[in-house]
Amino acid sequence: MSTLPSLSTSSRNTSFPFPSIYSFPPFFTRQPNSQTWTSQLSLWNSLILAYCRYNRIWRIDLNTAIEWDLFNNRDINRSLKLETCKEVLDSMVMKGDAEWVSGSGSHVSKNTSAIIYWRRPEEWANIIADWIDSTGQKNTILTLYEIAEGDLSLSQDFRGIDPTILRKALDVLIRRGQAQIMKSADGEEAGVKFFGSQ
Amino acid sequence: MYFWRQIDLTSARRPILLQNEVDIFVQDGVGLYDGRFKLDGYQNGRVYLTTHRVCYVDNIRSATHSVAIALSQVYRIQFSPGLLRSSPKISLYLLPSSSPSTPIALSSPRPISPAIAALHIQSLDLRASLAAVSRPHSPDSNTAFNWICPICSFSNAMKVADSDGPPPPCLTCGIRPTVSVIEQAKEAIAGVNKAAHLYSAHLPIGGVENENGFACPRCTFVNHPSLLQCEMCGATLVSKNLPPTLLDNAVKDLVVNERYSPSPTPPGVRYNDDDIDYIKISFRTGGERIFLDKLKNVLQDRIWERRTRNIGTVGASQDRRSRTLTQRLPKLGIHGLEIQSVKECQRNLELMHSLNDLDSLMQKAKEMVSLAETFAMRLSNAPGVPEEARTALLESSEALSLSSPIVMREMAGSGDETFYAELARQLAEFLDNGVLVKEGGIMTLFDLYALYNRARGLSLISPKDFYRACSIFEKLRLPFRLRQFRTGVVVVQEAYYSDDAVNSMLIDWIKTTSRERGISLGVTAQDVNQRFGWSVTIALEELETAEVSGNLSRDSSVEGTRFYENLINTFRWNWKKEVFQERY
Repeated sequence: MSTLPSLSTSSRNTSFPFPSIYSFPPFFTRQPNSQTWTSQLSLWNSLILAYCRYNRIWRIDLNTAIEWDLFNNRDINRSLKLETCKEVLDSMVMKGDAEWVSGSGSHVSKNTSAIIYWRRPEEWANIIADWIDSTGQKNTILTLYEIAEGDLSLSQDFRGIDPTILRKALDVLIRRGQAQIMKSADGEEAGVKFFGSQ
Repeated sequence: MYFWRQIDLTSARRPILLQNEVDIFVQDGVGLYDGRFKLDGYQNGRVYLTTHRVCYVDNIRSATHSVAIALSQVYRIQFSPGLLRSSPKISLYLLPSSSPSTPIALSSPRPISPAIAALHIQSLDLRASLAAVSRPHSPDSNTAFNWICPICSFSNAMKVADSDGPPPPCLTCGIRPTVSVIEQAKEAIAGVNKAAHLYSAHLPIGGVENENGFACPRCTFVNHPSLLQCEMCGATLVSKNLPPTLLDNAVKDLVVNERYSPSPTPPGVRYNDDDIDYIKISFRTGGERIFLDKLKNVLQDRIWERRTRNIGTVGASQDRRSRTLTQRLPKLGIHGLEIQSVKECQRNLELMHSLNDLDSLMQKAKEMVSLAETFAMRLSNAPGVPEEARTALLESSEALSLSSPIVMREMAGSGDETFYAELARQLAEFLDNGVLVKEGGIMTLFDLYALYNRARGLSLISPKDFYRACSIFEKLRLPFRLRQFRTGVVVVQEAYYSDDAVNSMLIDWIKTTSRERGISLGVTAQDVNQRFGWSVTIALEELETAEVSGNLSRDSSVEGTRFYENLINTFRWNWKKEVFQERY
């Protein structure tokens, strides 16, 4: 969460190449026709993934994100309503492109924040494994922080990856037998050890 | 088919009425007979009784099998009630339309109503007996008299001309009477003639009184001998000296004679059933009683003779244009002023008559409409009148007029079906008169209801009746139909446009305009309203229908809802390739 504001503020200055549908006013209205709505949902799904990847956004907090230009086209003076936004994210969650982050407290009303998987955990697992391979870090132990913020990952796609996503990617690798979580004496997860793919 | 004449129909397949002609009654499910024979192809239709004609419109082949007879040809009607499987029938006895002298002879100043006459003495040959009364001193060979069979006491009719030969057998028991019976009866008829002559010369019948006076044949009150009419009931008093067997007939004749002064029958014209051509109308689904009553009234009123009454004050709607032309011509001089003041007087009189009560307003409706039109015309020509007032007046006078008299429940015969069918036909005519065109070919049911009821003015119809009438448009093969939108809004539209055709017309228009204006401008229901003339409700319904079919998409904002060509459905965007140049 702490990385989000800085990323999002920096991202708004760079210009994301919006598709032409973004200038189509009905795109910002929830279409009553179910068939059109399905198409609309998938377009929004693509747009959010592309936007997040372009701006390296890992999480969307609807309370603040609703103000982003992603959901506001000021040229045509149209914006997506919050409830429509939620519906879009709901459908993304259904497709596995996002996941609600249940915050503390009552879980029902807390569906305002979501992790966006612009790459699926499996993809991240592959990318991390390739990175370990290419940098010769097999059989070494890395902390989670080193993977996301370390010097060697500066130019990597997963630079600054959200810890939750990273953990899910590592879980994939563990299931494949390519990594192992190392725990410290007091039971906390301290680092991860990578093995060769054999 | 000698008597029937082909007629023209309106688009809703109702007879086109003549000038001043008014619909009175309509009955479905009738068949026609010429004489005793069924007319092939004229067995399933509607019969319209108007003030001038009896029209038959075939339900299936209405274009070719629609005929009428003029009521002025009818001189007698006869009603035969249904028996077992035979439907009730009304026979109309007709004069040949080619000889003008006979109908004129019938229409004497106080005409005989054949209807009433036939009602009173259905089996009696009216003319023969009337002739016997009116020409007493020359009992010609046509004069009929009755002789009483001594065996069965049946009263047989016989003509004087036939009485010289051997007496015919009794019609009931077949026994020939003796010659003396016939002779007595012949003498008796001479007595009747004498009495009738006395009566017609207004001589007191007191010559035949006894000391008690004599009893009224109706109420049996014994009147003073010098009285001509009964003191109690006002019935005409008849001499007691008449043979009792003929008393009844004589009274009947006298009553008829008193009430309708008959015209002299042209000699040589024999009114035997065999000589007369007549037509029959068979009522297969009932309604014959009401038809008979109304027919009698019409025949009594003889409205077709008054057709020139209104010419001069107001013309029919057809010469509306010519009237406006004459009004524009300046009337110069004293003559012009006089004409104007006379016209003013007439108008004032008309207004006064009309406002006396509502009935007379109904009768004067046509005159009132044309009066309103002249006011509108005058207003539109006069300077300094606000534009809204002009248009409002013009519109109101337009809305006032229905092309045909309003269909009322009493007009239609048995069963509600006929009423609804007639209502539907009138609605179709109403819509055809430019109402629907003005609304762009589609209008909501409630708009039509309001317009139509305003046009009716009086005796409004209920929404239920209205809806039922509208829902049988298609069954009656009228060029309109109902259509229900998904939201439940019901509209009336022309039948030859399918829903899809209307909708694709709309979609095409939106596509072309969006190309012209650029993509960012959609259309609103108001735009559609302006383009196609549909009401906003209908425009919205059509737009939503197109949206449901996936052809349009909507944009709701604070500015309202606009509709766009549906680009969302067709837009394809491979973001990984286009934004991140990945090969997928």
